[in-house]
Formats: sequence, C-alpha cells, structure tokens
Amino acid sequence: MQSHGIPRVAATTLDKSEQARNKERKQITQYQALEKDVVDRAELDAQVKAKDYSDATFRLTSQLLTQNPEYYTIWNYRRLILQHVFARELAADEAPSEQDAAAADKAGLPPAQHEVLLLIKEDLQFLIPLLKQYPKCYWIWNHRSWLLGTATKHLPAHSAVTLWHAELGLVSKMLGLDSRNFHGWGYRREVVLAIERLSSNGDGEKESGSGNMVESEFAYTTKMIQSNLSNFSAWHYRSQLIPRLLSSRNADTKTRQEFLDAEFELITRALYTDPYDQSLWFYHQYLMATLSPANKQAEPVLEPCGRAEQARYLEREIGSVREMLEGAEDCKYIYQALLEYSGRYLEVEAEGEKVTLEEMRGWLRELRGIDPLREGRWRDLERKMGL
Amino acid sequence: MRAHISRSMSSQEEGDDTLDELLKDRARIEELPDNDEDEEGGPPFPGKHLKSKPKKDLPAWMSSATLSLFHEDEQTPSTEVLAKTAAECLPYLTLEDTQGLPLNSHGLPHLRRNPHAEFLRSCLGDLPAPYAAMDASRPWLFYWCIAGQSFLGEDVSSYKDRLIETVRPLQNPGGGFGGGHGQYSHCACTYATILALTAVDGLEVVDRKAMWHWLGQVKQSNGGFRMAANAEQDIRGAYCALTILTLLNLPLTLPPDSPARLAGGLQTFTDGLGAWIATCQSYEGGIAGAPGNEVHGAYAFCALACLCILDAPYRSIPAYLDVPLLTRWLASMQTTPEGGFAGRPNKLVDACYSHWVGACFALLEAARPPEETQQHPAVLARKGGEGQGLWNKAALVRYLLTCAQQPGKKGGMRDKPSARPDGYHTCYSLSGLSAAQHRYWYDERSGTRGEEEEEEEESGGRLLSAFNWRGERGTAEEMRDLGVDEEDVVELVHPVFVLRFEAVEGARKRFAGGGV
Repeated sequence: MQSHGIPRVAATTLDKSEQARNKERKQITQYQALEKDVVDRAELDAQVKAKDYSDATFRLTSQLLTQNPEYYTIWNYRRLILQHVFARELAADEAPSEQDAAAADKAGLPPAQHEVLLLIKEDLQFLIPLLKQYPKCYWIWNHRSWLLGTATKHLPAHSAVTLWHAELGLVSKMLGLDSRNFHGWGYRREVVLAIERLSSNGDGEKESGSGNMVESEFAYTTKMIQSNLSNFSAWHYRSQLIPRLLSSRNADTKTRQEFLDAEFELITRALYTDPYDQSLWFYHQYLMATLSPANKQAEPVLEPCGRAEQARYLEREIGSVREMLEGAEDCKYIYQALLEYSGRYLEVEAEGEKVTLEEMRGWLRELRGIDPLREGRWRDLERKMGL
Repeated sequence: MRAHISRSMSSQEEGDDTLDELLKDRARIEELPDNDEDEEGGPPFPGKHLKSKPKKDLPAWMSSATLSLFHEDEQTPSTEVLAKTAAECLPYLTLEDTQGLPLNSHGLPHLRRNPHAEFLRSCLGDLPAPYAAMDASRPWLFYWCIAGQSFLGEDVSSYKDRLIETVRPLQNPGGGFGGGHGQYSHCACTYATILALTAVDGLEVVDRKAMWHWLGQVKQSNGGFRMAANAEQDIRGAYCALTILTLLNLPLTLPPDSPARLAGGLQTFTDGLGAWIATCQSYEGGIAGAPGNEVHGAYAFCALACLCILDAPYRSIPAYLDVPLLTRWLASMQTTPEGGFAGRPNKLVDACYSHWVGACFALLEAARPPEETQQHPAVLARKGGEGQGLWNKAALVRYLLTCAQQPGKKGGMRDKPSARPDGYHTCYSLSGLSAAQHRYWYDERSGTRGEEEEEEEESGGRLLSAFNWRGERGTAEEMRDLGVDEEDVVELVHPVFVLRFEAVEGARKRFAGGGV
C-alpha cells in the first residue's frame, strides 16, 4: 500500500478520465468533511468548551483513522477518549446489569475492569484490518502497544498476560507475512518483555522463573531461519538473544564453548548451502565479533575469552572458510572473510603460521577481480592492512 | 560437501518461467570468454537470447564474473526477489532498453531536468485521493518538492510567500510544526518544514522561542530525542532536533521546563547525545534506529550527520563510532549488478538510498584527522581513492540515470523500474547524484565567520561545525569517468543539511545573533 510512507499511486493527476477524477473529488471531499467534523469535535485548541469524548466522536475517529492511519494527532485524541471512558468505568459506583455482572464473574474480574477489558479488546479488534493493510504504520503498532499497556495498568496480571500472549500470536502472523518487517520484530521484543514481567514471581528472579521466554524465542529464530536462510532480521534477533540465553542456562565455560561451536556449525552448514548469501556472512561476523574485545557491540560468549581462544577460533574458521572455496571460487564473501579474519589473526598471533601475507595478497587479488564495484574499498583495505 | 538445511517451498517446484530456466543453465555462464567481445557481445542476462544487437563496452562491475548472484542453488524467498530485481534492471543497465530517452555522449540517458522539475512542481499542486494518507506528513512534500527543484538549479525563491502562509497554521503555539493544522508537533514534520523554509529564505515565520521550548519537551534523559510527545525515541529524532537547533541558532541550554532537565539533570540539548548515538551501532558496524534494533542505511546517515552537527567530524565521529566497521557495512550496501544501494543486507536496491547511504561516505571520509594526511582537505577529497574513494560513484550514477528515471511526459524519479515516481524518491535520487558527481569536505580553516561568531561558539552558544563544509563541482575528467555530460550534472548539495549551500548560509547569517 505504501512505501516509505508514500502512497503507491501515480502522484500526478494527468491522464485520468473525468469519471475517475469525479470519483476522486468525492473521496477527497468526503475525507475533508470527516476530518473537519472530528477536529471540530476534538477542539484541540478550545479553552472554553468541554472536550467532546462522546461515543459518536469516537466512532468518527475510527472512520477517519481507517482512511488515514498516519494521522497521529487523531490517534492521540482517540486515546484521550478511551482514557476518559476507562476512568469513568473504573470510578462508576452504580451497580452493573445482571448480564454484565455474570460475564464479569465468569472472566474472574470485577465488573468495572471487565468492562475496560471488553473495550480494549474491541479496539484491538478494530486495529487488525488496519494493521494488515498498513503493516509499516508506526502509529498502529503504537496504539496497540498503548492498549496493552493500559490493560496491564488497570487489570490483574492474569488478564493482561492473556492479552499479551494473543499479541505474540498476532506478531508471529505478521512476521509470517513479512519476515523483514522492522515494526514486527521490535513489537515482538516488547511483547516478550511484557509477558516475562507479568509472569515473573515479582522477586526479580525472572531469569530462571517460568516467565523466561528466551528459550522459546531462540527456538523461534531457528524456525524463521529454517524457513528463510536469508532472513537477516531473524539472525539479528538471534544474536541479541544469545547473551541472555547463556546466562539463563547458567552456562559454564564448557557449555558456552559447546554452544558457540554449535552456532558455528549451524552457520557453516548454512554457508555451504549458499555461500553467496550476505545475511549468513553477517551472522558469521557476529560470532567472530564475540571473540574480539575490540568490538564493544558484541558481548563475549566464551568465558574466558582471551587471546588463546581468539587465535584458536580464528585458525579454525580461516581453515573452514578456506574449504568453502571449493566449488565457489567466484564467491566474493569468502575472500573478504578470509582477508579480514587473517588480518585479525595476525594481530592476535603475530607469528601465526596459518596464513601468509602472500596468501592474503592473493585473496585480495581475487576479490578485486570478482567485485570490481568495490575497487575503491579494496584499495583502501589494502592500504590499511599493509598488503 | 554440501549439507542441507530444510528450505521452504521454492518457486522451482512450481517450475515456471524463462528466468528459472535460464538460471538453471549454468553452462552459459561458464562458457563465457574473458572479455565481453564475443560475437553477440556483453554479459549474459535473462532474455539475452531474445536480443541480438551488439553491445557497447560495459563497466567492469557488470562483467560476467560479478553476475555471480545467478546461481542455480536453491533460492530463498529473499534471494528470489533479489534475482528478480536484478533481472528487471539489467536491460536498462546494459542499455539494451533506454526507454526511448535521449542519450548523452557516453550512451547513458540524459538527466531529464525539465520533466523532473515539472514533476516536482506538480506534486505541490493537487494530488489524487489516496494522498490523504499523507495528510499528517504534508511538510515532507514541501521539502522534497522545493529542495528537489533547487538541486536541479531551479529558482525556488518564488515559493516563499506561499510556503510561509501554508506552514503558518501548521505551527503550534507550544512550538514546532505538525503534519497539518491542529496536529501535534513532530520532529520529522518540523525538520521538513524548517528545511523547506530555509530553501526559500522564509524562516521568519518560525516562533523560535516556542520551538526551543518544544524541543526541550522531546529531549530525553538518556541523551536521545523522541519524535513527538509520547512517540518513539529514535535516531531520526536526534538528527532532526540538532538540525532545527542549528539552523535556527536556538540556545543549546535546555529550557527550564524540559523534563530532561527536571528529571534527568541534563543541562544542554547535546548532553548525552553522542553516547546515545554510540549505543545504536551494532557489531556489523551499521546503525540502528534505537539500541538493539536491526541496522539500516537511513539511520547511518542520521547518526553521521548528527555527529557532524555536534562537532568537527574528525572529532565526533571517531569518538562515538567504530569507523572501520561502519565503513565496511556501508560499502557492503552497494548492490551488484545494479550499482545502487540497498538499505539492509539482502534487501533490494532503492534509488532513495542513493542519498541515505551514498551521502554517508563524504561524512565518513571527513572522520580522518586532517593532520594525519597533512594535506588540504580539498586535495584530500580529490585524491580519495584516486577518484574512487570508498564507493563506486560511476555505478550509482549509472543506476540513477538508467533505472531511476521515469520516461514519458510525467518525469520524476523512482525507487526502481517497477515502481512509480514520487517526490521523495526524486528528491533523494538527486541528492545521491550530487554526492556522486561532486566533492565535499570539511574545512574549518576557511570559514567566513566573524569574530563575534567565533566567540559565540567558544562560549558554547552555537554549534558551528556543520557550517564548515565545502563543496566543489567535479572536474570535466571526473564527469567523463562518471559518464555524464554537463547537463546531467546537478547542483552542490550540503552534505549535512541536504539543501543548497546558499540556503544554509542564509540561515546561518539570519540568526547569527542567536538568543530567543
């Protein structure tokens, strides 16, 4: 529907039939009338008149937002209306109807809170078709987040967490539709955090508590990767989870090493399947970065992680990557990796015999031949590496 | 030695079109001679067998070896789409299909200056109904269309009065601009409005004092900025806020009612900012919108440009970012065979990244300490990689001229051939073109500032580094190497503020007195 927030339609109005133009004029007029109506009711600048939080206005915001979900000010106004309604429900001291009372009882909630839950659920439902149509609209995800946050604030944990679990289901569906959707992955992280918080014992020991989702999330990344090896968003999330995963498992030195080896095994197998896949090489770079103290953005996996460990893995991986050349002699990523890891290796192990400068020059030569687009970059690297 | 990891259904199971058949035919690629001059000429591409015209010499990066992305290995959904895009672009890149456009002396399509200018003009007029979706982002249209025209050398001063009257109702009493009348102020809307006003020298309409207060509301205790009240915090906010502060010369000290001051104890808008930006860099070297998120090209530009506003690039960039890692990441985003840029690994080329990634390199190259090279920055810029620098400018120019231009009456520039043109892509394609065609460097030695301003900066009154950038048109030889004629050359675009230098200078002078 939209790309970078711009509608995917021709921007100019030339070449349209008079009929088409008339139809569009009607749409525009209708939109403008609707907008004026809502804004007048919202009377955002009004000093005197009381705010209009009526149901009628609420329904008009639904209409307007359905047409223009990027209208962030109206989302804000919708939230003001909802806040007003929630506050009114929670403060109400008139007895609920028998029907409402029974339904609330069934849900295990006081009637007022049950009413709030129903309202929230309704709004979440309203968002679903919008989200499907505009999966990259920040404001829709934001409103969902706000609704869930409100639920968490006003409802007991058992109710709120049910809603959050439903969100997890929704975001999985959205990521199924577009596995690279930023918003989806960010929202997922938010959802997981909320579920963990609500499921913890409240004593801060959530890492080993039943609410700890790091294992299932890690498994989720495995699943996403298996369905699309190129999905860098999944590999990225995986890299984010690893430090927590290991601490949650109380992994000792040996376990950590086994884990790292298993990850290398995974990525190596993936690279054999497709060494031309850029995402895979970035993940390989991540694993290697965990070994390097210079890279502050990658938390170490191994404990200890000193020069000896670094040198050992560098040696092993250089050997492993070298073998990938067979049948993929035209793969630029292989030569790039060999060059970069060799450079690092010689920094760690100056007398290292695994690679020679001559070999490195050879790899650089190959790289320049295969990837002439980046000639300037390779020349810069050559100078920096002193080759 | 090939292990198998289970894959999802690939289109090969559906067994369909010519592209798949050609991709399976590996022998074709292996049998190619070393040079391109066989009897048919040129590298293979899907559909080649349908053509028989002889080809001109193609650039090195389009030779057969670099078309290695066409491998018959099992494809993932991502790589399928990548291959589809490359196939879509190749006929244009190889000049097989020049879309009926007039060609320059190097055989590339001319830059369609007049149609693109006309397109941008029309985007400021009536728009079709679906553009209601941009009702909360109207300032962007002002900026893309006005700045875009100025990059083509058009005189945009005549828009001044009209723009001022249009944005007046978008300005809120509490400061800042929203996407439309009655809409809450938003960093992006404010940024776009300020830039558009700067382009037409119309900044007098801005309520600077209120703006200062509003920016204080979006500054966060952790050093970053929110995009609007209750909105997301991300690196765009930082770049937008610093741009606004600097062009308007607002006091750097936080307003008394700023939550960041009251709750966080911060004193200035720049407190904690560099450190927060640093947390957005990942192990791959790229920059994310916020810490922990996936990295993306647009955010790299925001980070670099923001740091260039904060201080001299050779100080601020290395202080907060790992430069070699970032260089590596940015260089990886240029795609083969298209020559344009993608925004993330394994994603598609898109003309707008010509700016978001392409314009990063000039900023990055200025991160080198000037004393290290003991050369005048202008000379350095010229020599950077002997005309090639860290990225392939000729490849980008080729992509933009052959694939990103809309043919026909309408004009405008587009993401890729299968996309429609729009103001956003036109503006940023032109900016990317400028990054490729001209040289930009940082030089604080030849400033035109007066003594008063020097004192002001020293006393922490104004950030002046961003005004120390210089630009110089590429030489005739460089234009030849890029494959462009004089009429294909765009104007110089300020690498930090993405406006004409003259406009930036106008803003600097206008508010040189400072204060609110």
